[in-house]
Amino acid sequence: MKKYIVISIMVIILFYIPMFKLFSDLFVKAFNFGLMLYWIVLTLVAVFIGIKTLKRLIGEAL
Amino acid sequence: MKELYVAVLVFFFVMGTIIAWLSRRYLGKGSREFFVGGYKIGGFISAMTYAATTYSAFMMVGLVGLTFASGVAALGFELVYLASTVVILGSIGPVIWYEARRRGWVSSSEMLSDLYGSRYVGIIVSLVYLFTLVPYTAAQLKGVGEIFNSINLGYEYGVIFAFIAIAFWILIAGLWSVATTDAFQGIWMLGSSIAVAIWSILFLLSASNIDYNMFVNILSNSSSGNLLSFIWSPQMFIGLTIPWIFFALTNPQVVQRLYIPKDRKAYMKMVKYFALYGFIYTVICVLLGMVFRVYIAFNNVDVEGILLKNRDSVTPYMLTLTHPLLAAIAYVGITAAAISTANSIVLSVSSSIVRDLYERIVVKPNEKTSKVVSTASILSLLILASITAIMKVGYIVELSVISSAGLLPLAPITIAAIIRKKDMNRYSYIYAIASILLGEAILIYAIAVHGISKALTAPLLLQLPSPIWILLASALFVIPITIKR
Repeated sequence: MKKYIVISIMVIILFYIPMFKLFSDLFVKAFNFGLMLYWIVLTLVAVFIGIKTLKRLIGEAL
Repeated sequence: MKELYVAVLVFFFVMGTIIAWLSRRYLGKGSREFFVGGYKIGGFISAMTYAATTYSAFMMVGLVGLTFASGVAALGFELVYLASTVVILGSIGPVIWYEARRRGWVSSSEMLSDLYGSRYVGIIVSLVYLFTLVPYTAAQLKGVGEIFNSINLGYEYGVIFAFIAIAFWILIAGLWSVATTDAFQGIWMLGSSIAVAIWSILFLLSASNIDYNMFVNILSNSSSGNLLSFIWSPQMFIGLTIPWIFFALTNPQVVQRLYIPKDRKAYMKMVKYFALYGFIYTVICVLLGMVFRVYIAFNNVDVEGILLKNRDSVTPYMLTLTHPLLAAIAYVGITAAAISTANSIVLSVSSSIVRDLYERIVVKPNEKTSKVVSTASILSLLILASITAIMKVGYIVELSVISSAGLLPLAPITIAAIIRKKDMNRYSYIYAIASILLGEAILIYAIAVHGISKALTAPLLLQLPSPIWILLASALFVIPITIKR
């Protein structure tokens, strides 16, 4: 459970990486829609973890 | 156009009212039934009411305009909200859902006063809701007024229409009519945005012979910079996203949505469907902003300058180019987004007034009087918001934007209370009240220093914007609560 929460926080922090120009330029250079793709992938990961945590919590702890 | 919009709006209102009326059969007696549907709402309706409540007219107007003006950073801003909300719904949400039915919570301020064992917490939180969410509701009514105004129907009539629809759909069956009409409105919002997105790609882009390379080229070399890269200031990104990350815990209208699913399966469905809805809706609104920027930059540079100065007019201008029927459906979709957000806020703030201000102060509250107080508070809140909207009180929109920061101090105390729900210190409520007051004081200081419009995004200290400091300061006071004795 704690593991999932830590990963979730890490994923949310990763949303802020493109604030650094070096990284955002890198994403866009690699692929024109790289930055969009980056945020979309992070969102999907967060959704996956959120639902996984939910399944565990609702199935066991409550 | 005017006649078409009226016809579609009448159809929308009649359908909504029929749905609200049909939902009456589920309504039982008492404030628990009226405000949270007796915790018996199914998964699909729960998800749709959550989505329609969360996503206001900001999506199709504000987000489209924001993307038009500042590019892909708007996607990051909106997706970090979605991601954090799903994480909260998956981790803290189930605990709130479980405890709500175990302890009989109706309002979100009641949750906090119960967990901290102090009615003062509930009263202060209710007052915070009142001060922050009335401008937010007024901004939604103003949005409907602006739509009416843009098609020459009269601004005031728009506000009056929204008032009637909201009051009607709340008073018919409380949460039941709000949730079922929200589901109807949520489907309309998503359906109309998908239709406009398809139209924009099939007609706007292909009519101008804009291919993929040209699309990328125009966005990369726009007058605002490379719109496919990050062109916001870090302060703006942090300042706008921090309050939204905690939105699911701080805004009473969505916290209350966590109480309503009828069982575990329904709760799970709510989270899954909401995640899907939020993802599609966000991507579509961002896509619309980008497609329209490319179209305008390619065809009409003069208009581009005008729209960049007033980005909230991007969507209305775009809709003037569509078929009138599609424009009417989309306008009603935006109206639906405003109404579905406003009615949930009014219902939830009213539940706080009834449960934490009336029922806790009066020695022996009875059901009949509670019902009268509920109706009176719903109508009073709506009248207050409508007057604010009709008088076009300055700074409504700015106030509604900073409402999210005004609610931010509630995040640390909510998280601390959920963590420590079993053994709360008897003095914990003092820390909670201090945490709220300090957070609000920082916000007021930020407003005094930078003005309302820049209070969230201008650097306050160490180059960091006010939301970071509000969060840190509020969190400081809850540390003693979370430490185990």
